[in-house]
Amino acid sequence: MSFLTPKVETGVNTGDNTPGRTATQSPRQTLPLVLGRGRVVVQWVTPVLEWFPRTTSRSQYWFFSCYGWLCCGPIDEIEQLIVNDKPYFALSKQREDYPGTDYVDDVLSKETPEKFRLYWGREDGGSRTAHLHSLIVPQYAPGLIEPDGITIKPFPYDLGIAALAVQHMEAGQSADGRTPPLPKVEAIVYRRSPAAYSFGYSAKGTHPVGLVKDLLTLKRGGRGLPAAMFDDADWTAKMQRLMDDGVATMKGHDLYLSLVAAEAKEVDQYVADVLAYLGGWLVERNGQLYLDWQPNDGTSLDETGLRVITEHHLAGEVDEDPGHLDGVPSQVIVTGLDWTANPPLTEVSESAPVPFVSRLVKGRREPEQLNRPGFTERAQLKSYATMLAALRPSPEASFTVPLLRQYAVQPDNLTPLRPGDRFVLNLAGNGGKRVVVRVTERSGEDAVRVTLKGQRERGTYPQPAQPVLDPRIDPTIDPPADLARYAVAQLPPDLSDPADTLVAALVERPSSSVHAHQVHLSPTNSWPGQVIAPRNVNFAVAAVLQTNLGVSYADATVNVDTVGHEWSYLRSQSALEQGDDQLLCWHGGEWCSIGAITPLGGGSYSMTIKRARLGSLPLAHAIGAVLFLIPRNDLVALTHAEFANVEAAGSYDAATATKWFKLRPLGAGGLEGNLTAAFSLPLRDPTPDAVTDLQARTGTGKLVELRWTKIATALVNEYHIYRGTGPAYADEAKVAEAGGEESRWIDIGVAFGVTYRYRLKAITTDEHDSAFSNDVLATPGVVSGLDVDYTPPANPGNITLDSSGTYLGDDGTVFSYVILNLPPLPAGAIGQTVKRRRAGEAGAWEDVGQTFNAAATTIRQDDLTPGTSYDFALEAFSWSGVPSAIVVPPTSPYLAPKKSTNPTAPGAITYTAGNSTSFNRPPVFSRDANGNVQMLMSVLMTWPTSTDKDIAGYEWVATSDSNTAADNVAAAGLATFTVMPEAIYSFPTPAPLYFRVRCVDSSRRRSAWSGGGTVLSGLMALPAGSMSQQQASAVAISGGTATGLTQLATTGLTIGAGTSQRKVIARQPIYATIDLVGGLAQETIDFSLAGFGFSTRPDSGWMQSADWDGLLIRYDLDDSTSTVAKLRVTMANGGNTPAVTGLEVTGEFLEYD
Amino acid sequence: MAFQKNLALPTGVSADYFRLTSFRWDRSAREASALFSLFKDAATAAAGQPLVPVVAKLRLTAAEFDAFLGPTALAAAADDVVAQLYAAARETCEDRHETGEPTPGAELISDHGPDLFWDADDV
Repeated sequence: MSFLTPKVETGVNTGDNTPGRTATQSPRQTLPLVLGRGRVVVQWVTPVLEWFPRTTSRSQYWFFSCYGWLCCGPIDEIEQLIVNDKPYFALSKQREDYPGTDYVDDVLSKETPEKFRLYWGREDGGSRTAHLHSLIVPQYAPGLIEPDGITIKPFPYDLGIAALAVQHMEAGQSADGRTPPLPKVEAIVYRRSPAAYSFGYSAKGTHPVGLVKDLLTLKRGGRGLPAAMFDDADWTAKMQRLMDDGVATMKGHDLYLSLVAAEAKEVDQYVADVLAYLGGWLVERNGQLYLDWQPNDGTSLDETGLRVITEHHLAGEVDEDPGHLDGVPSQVIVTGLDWTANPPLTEVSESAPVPFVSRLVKGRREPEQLNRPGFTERAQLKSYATMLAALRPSPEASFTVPLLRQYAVQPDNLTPLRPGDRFVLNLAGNGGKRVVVRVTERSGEDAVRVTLKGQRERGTYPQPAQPVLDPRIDPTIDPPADLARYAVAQLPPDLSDPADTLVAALVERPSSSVHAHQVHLSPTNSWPGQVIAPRNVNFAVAAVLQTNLGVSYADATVNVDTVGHEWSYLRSQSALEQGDDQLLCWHGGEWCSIGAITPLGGGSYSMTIKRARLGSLPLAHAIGAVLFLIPRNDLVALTHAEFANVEAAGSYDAATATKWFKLRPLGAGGLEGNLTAAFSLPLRDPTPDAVTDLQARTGTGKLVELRWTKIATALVNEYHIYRGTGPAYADEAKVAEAGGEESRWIDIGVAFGVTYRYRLKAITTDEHDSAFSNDVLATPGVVSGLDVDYTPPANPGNITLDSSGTYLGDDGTVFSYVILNLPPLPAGAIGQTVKRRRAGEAGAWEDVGQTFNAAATTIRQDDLTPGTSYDFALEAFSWSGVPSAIVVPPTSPYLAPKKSTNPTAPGAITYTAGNSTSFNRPPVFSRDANGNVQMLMSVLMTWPTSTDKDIAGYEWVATSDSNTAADNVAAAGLATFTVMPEAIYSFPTPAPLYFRVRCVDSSRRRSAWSGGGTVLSGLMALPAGSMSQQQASAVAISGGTATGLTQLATTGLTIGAGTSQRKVIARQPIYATIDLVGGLAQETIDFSLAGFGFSTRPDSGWMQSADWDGLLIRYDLDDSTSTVAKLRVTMANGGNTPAVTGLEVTGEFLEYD
Repeated sequence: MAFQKNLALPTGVSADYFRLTSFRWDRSAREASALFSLFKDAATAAAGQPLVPVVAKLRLTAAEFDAFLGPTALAAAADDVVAQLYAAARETCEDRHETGEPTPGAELISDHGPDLFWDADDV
């Protein structure tokens, strides 16, 4: 980077004191063109016109007169003269104060007197001799006088250059009688842009658009292009646009800059520098030059008047390169020459981090370095760097569009599309993508096609706000990471609702940057959808399955690894109780319970899972499947009226039943992350459709074989088979049950020659019946009885018990289930019927299942009553329908289990006494209900963690009496529940108190009490006459208990179990923009709080605007709700509100319990 | 103990079972706060899964606190704090509905109106 630097002292002392000496302090160089504010050195262009000394007894000072150039004129102000790098004289002369004159005179020092004359310079050049005529006294410049003694020689040749003439300026002392070197004289001058004169200039410089035009048009220092090449109206409009809309986040005078063009480089390079500063470009059209830049007014996406390119216009494939991340730097560093530095024009840099870049590119990126044209200050560099950095994350996309030549034109079908032009690219069938593209290159032209390269328009520039205002836009705070492993699952019946379809989002927390997540729903996959869970803070953990799982009800032990982090719930659960399980597992539609968990190290675990929890059927899961594990209590049930819509024309419709979801992570302060891709969940039909293809077959014997197609759209647990015969089939009754996985049943309880009518119903796991299926008639006996092979099959083997457990029905009723191991088919059999009856009742067997598997298999039996014993038996049958004997295993009956074991009581309690502050309690002294000071004492109780697997926590009470009192307190719901094996109890005086604790399991079964043997007050060794004793006498204490509460004092002082700490439910910082209509004494705004997590209206809130000091924003509590805050806006000065769009406001809302 | 009243939620789901799920009281400061949850129905409430975890908040302070949770009031109510809070919620809503004005020291805060429970059934 190099710009004009002032000349430096040459150090040459010529010692020539002859008047007319060449000004060696001013070697010739390019005459600078100042645009904006500049510091230029005087180039002495005449010899020294006059030297004269002033001599005292001890010294000799020399004074000189001379004339020199400053820069291309005209200048509009001279601010200061600097002599030998020291401020010498503040002038502050403005050209507009001297209308009609070419120069201004002033006296620098009255001693000599020392005078100067500044020529402003002129646009159109000036008189050849005007300057010298005015100031230089001819007798002191004999070399410039023509022989006629009057006319001054035509030197210097003047073309309106800004110039300075000094008369009798001090040059310093001379000790040896020779003249001293001339001082270095510099001036700080301002020049408005001639092209943008009416827009003025600021301390930062002048109008950048005008600056570009100046560089292009000025004859001195610029390109000198003719005026015919510029559409003045358009350039003026662009200048006004820069004042009104600016570039990105800056506009008007904030964008002004200064340029001193003096370095020997092409003018075009200066133009390019300024264009880069704007992010702008020049485009030539019809012989004229136009300037434009990415607009800040949102109009660039306006398609009005643009050519729309569709696939019909293409001559090949459109190539889209999103590429926006490739060029994203980590930070932007802007370098410039700081003219306020010492020494001046030192090269300095300022940087700004690009927001979120580490998240976007997931890696280190080099910074982007660029130079700011012209002279600058550090604050300007910082501002520019911040602006550019804020723009960098905005995605860009470039397109290469091959077009048929006749379509590469403007809508007038005549003007070609050229760089800088825009067109609409409408790729129908490609997700409805319709973008506005600005042409950057027109290439690959031939007779039939033209290839246009362009960039997608970004529309309104992003408006990054001040990062200090709000944590959500603070680039130093990580935005929430994208969700990686997630699903939405339909809840099983016991976790759901019999009348409502509920789902739950299973989301793994990808990192600590994610604090919550949102669930968006669209029934038709059209977005944006509806937010049905604005802020869910419960997360699941995901694990990768390392073991294949087949379709089976049997328990399985699986290995999983890469289990998600930050989770403390991976604890073994009771494998018995599905109704009480606390840790659930889900994959691909199957809910399972978790049993024992064994860490294998390195994030891997071995865990027993209980397959196909009630409400789901066993499914196959392959290695690599992502399981989700979630505590039952963390399930957040989501519902929506649309979930009930699963049918079309009266029957289940897969398309209608498929609902679409997107999830969004939320970070600190509600900072929203990226939505996931849309994914779908086909909901089951709560009321199953009827079977429609039931068929019956006879002919091989005394049997009827039924076949049907399984209902796959609802969770069918079993099919009930109905058979009727006789007149009108009036004796129809349920004859058997087939499992939900079955599609075949063989009825061997039939007689030859009798016509039976069969039909069936599908029953879901939550006990919803379908309508009857179609009915079929069957008459066994197409062969005579003599042709039937009456040889029975061999007797089947014994049923054995695989496992059993309990579960909760959707109405909360506890049921039991058993899983039975069935032996292989015996010789001569084609199937086996499972029979069941209550043990000891010797009643009829009920057919509850059939299996046709040749090999051993398992079958699950639900709906058993806990604590009841059942007999199960097997009966095989042949192709002729001839049954074997009914084989009741010797291990029968089986007891349907129920949970009846209470947890073990906690172990020995350890007491630690102290004053109330010993355990981070409130202050020792407080006031009771009567205002009397009381002293609080505290006791810390700890006990060993329970070794039972199924422990939800502990319940403790402090009572003044026996265990009975403890039970009363607990029964009243006033016991304190804790998951940690410790408690702290504070009490005001040494009343006799006993502490008791017991274990509570997941099904709320409680152990016996532990503790109670130690008097808490006895742990306090109180010295006689202590404060607490005095307090004891001040408040009369007596014993006695009351239901649920402990009555301690006759004064009415009652200690309850409620906590007194006021809790903050939600606290949300706000950063937002609001719009004001304006013109009102008070304006009311409905500010949306949706998604901020408030339960009711916030209890307090404030907002303020950094931009409008006088704006008062009041939160109106009375009319607000949890989702809408009423804001009343007034002006502090009593005036009307302004009309403002996009006003940035910050604040905070707070909700207590 | 609960309130029953049919309420349609913005999601299109209706629910009818309000239960007091947590409360806080401070006898020194004479203030209490009770949070009501909305359940789909009684069966869902038994499973402990609210549709709206906090649908309403009851706050009692000063004289209103004494009226329901003071020593005299509690003694008369057999120390049943929860029942007193239900009674306070009911009375606060009824007063608000009749007068249209808030009662100092007793306030029910809910998006569904400050008199949400005035016509609810006790169940």
